[in-house]
Amino acid sequence: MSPLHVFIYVFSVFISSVSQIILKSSADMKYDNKLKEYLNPRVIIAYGIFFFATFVTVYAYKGIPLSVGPILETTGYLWISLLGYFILKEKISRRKLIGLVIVVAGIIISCL
Amino acid sequence: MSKFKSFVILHIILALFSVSAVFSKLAAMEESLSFKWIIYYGAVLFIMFVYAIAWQQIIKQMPIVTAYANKAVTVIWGIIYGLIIFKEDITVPKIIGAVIIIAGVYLVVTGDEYDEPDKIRDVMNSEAANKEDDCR
Repeated sequence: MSPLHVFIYVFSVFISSVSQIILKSSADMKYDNKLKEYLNPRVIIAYGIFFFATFVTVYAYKGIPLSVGPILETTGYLWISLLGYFILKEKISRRKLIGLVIVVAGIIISCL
Repeated sequence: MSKFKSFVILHIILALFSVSAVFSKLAAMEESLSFKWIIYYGAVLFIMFVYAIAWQQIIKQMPIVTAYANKAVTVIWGIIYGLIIFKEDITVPKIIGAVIIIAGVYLVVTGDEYDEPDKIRDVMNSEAANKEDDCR
């Protein structure tokens, strides 16, 4: 397993999380009509980033086994929580924080 | 739809969704943009598209927290598909790590829900402590 490809995979999860945050920020806005709700710059950029992320994921799999992919995918919970905290000003409860630490510990252990 | 039925359907959806990672890995084993690569990558996008629709439907049948907590099972599917299809090793740290991740995910997705009851409990405890003081 190559550390570079682990990094690339985690990067793909990160940008995919960014696309989720953009979608969320778009969902919170008011639109004149249904069409604009789906076809607006934020939604298009979000799906563009998501599409790019799937491409990066395939590239990352060149250097990591299949079983490690879904494990690294769970870093998404960390990215979503951090992006939500810093960008959407969402709170992170104590229970959630403990959970995130446990998830990261589990990822590190499974990659040993 | 009964709770049990929607739960079973959720897990069928998650097992199928995990297959998209199998196609990602198959694509990775081919030369980028080759014919086989395009077929496998197309399969990845197709599964994700179907999954997105199925997910939207199933989360109407159960609390979103339940759906997200169960989603952690994809970690197990990755290990199973890796073993069966790509003959990858199942190591002890990988199994222990997966179980720890699932426990952590459960705490993360239920984190918001338990935030309020925690506060209520704290208030009740402090009130109980005050009453004890009053009795003395």
